[in-house]
Amino acid sequence: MRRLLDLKSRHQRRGWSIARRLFGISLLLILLQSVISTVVTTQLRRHFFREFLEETLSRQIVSSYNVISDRLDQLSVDQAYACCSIDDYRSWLEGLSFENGKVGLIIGEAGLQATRDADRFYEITELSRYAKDAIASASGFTVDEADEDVPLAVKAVKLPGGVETGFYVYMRPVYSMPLVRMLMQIKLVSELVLMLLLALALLVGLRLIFRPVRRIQSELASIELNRLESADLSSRDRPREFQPLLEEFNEMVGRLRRSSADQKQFASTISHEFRTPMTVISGFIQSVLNRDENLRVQSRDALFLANREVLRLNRMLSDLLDLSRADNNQLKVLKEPFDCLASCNEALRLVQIAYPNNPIVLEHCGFNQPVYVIGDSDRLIQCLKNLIGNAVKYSELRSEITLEINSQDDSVLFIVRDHGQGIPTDQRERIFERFQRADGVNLRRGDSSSGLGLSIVKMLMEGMGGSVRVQSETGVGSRFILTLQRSLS
Amino acid sequence: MPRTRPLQWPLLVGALFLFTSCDQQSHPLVSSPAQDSVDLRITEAPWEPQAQMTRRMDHLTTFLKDATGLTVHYVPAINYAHSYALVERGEADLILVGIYGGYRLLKALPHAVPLVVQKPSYRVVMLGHRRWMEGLDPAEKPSLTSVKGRRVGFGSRFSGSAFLQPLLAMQEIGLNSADIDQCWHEPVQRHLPAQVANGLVDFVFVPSYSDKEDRFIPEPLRDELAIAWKGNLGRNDYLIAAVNPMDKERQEHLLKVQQAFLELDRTTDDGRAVLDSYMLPGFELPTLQFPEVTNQRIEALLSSSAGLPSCEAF
Repeated sequence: MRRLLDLKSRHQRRGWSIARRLFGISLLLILLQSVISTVVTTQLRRHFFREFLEETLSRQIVSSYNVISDRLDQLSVDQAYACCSIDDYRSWLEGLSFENGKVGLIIGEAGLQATRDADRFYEITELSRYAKDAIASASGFTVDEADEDVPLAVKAVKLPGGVETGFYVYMRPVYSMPLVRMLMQIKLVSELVLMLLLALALLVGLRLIFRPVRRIQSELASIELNRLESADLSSRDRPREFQPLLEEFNEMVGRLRRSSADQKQFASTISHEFRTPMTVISGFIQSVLNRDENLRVQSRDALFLANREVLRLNRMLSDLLDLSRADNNQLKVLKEPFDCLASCNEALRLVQIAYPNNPIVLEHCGFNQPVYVIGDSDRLIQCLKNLIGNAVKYSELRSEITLEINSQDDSVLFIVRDHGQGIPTDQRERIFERFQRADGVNLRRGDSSSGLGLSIVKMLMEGMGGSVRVQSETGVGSRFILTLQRSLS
Repeated sequence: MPRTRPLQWPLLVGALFLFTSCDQQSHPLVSSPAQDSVDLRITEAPWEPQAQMTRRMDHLTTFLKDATGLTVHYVPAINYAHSYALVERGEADLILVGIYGGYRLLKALPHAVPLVVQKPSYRVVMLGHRRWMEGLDPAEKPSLTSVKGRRVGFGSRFSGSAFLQPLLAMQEIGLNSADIDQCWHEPVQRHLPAQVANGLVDFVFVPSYSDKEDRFIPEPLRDELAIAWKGNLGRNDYLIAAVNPMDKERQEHLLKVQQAFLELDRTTDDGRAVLDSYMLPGFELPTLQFPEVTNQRIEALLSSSAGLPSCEAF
């Protein structure tokens, strides 16, 4: 039951498909048409073949019936009154003979008398059964299909007079029945083949019909939020049905573009306008702290706290400014060879100053020479600072943070490893999105997070042609791995 | 066309009494237990396939039962002669006959009396092959004289409508059986058109009982056959009663039957079925012209042919 519900909810999530529905309905219609056609054809064949046989037999019986009827017409009154014995039947049939299994017979009160040679083809009991079946039918005609290959068509006509004269019955095998059956089988097979071909044609047709949809889907997928300028979808060579949709979409993109530009402009302006006074405030606080040694302890602590918050605010503004620049394609990220060991050492120095309460160590395989990678040294330092800062924030006090450098043939990995709370599996993708933080993961007391750090790391690493990924185990710790292309020069 | 004058009811009733005695003995013809409740028996020459004859008689006896309350039993006949014999031997009280059978019975049975005759709607029709007619010279219109030197198909040798009527028509224009090359009898009149289509004969005579003279031509043969000649509108069929000895009860039965036939119309299903199957518009009382004058013409024809004509005799 649960599985069924899962399937159902998955199906609901996936939504329904026009193509599949159209294909299903068309296939159903084709199938229905085919079944109806086959049923109608079979019925028509039965009806018309039967009607044809009945008409044929009705015509064929006339000449022999006329002979008998004429003989009855010539009976004298005494003969008519003495009628009828089996000898009478025989005399009326005298001279009548048929070929190829055709038989004429008279069946009445006196018994059954068949034409000459009838016993070569049929038992008397068979003849009697065929005749009685035909007599019992409303039209006096039956097709006995006991022998499927050669059914027997039987026509019975009442002879003039009462029961004494009986019925004249004419029967003939229908040798063409196997041919008719074969034609029906060929028709059935051709129906099936046609249905298959139609289904294939339908598939191809649907693919052709939905090609513009797939093209639009692919174009939509390639649209990036920071490239809305080129997000308009051209309406050239598109189906007429899509034109209103595309026009609406382009109008929506236009509105988004304007809104985004306004937002970026706002963020950029705010960041700029805020950073200058923040720097001034921080400078004055530090100046007071450095020069005035007579400050009371409470005042000094308050100034330290104020300075730290100003610095945090400043960092956040820097991040916002970076993101804003990136959105406006104004962020400059170099892609040039640089010595990553030097960058790592610089980053290490900075974070050790910033986070003196946690041991932060550098591990590498004893590089004797500089290791060059392609990218931007400052940005790498920024990324490492962000990652190590995060590691500190989410780890216990004095918990060790390791920066490991691992050189490979064509790339260099920078691994920031902590022994913190770890990140749940389902959160690992979203922590790289803006303003997103992993649920259920707590910051150390007194720390805060804007949710921008990892998105900036991702943006910068991709800007340098590298990447960032995370490996984590809840309760054990996390490994953030930065990868940059190794420079061969 | 001869003028007809309906006989008056009292005359007919009187005639019935003249032809019959007033014997009150029980009816000798009720022979089987199944026929114990039978009031009258009717027969007819098998001029159509027996299945059609039986069906038509079912309608007729049902109609008579509804109209008169009488149980009329149909006695099938093997052939024309048998049907006449059934009446002559008292095994049937009523018979629907054509002019030939009627002539024979009225002549043979003094107590036989025509009860009703068909309203004028009969016409003898000569069918020929459409191809032959289309090949004729425009000036040469197909007519009854076209039978000269040709193969001709008739109904049964005892048929009035499809044998004697054509002979009477031929006699009127001075033709006789010797003018025909070959002749053929087909007892089932429905099968006659097929004889032309099959090339067995050149012409056939079929009866027509309505304004649609080609009604006798089966649908599949309409492209092949056409009417070559048609006779004047007249009568052929009538109902003869032959009850001997007559009693009051049976006399009343016959009067009821006569009245029922006179009132036969298309207002009931069975009435419509009966008239449709006979292709008749209805019945009326016998006239001075029919069947009396017609019988005189037949008498003359038979006397000139030295006995009963038939193709075998030609």
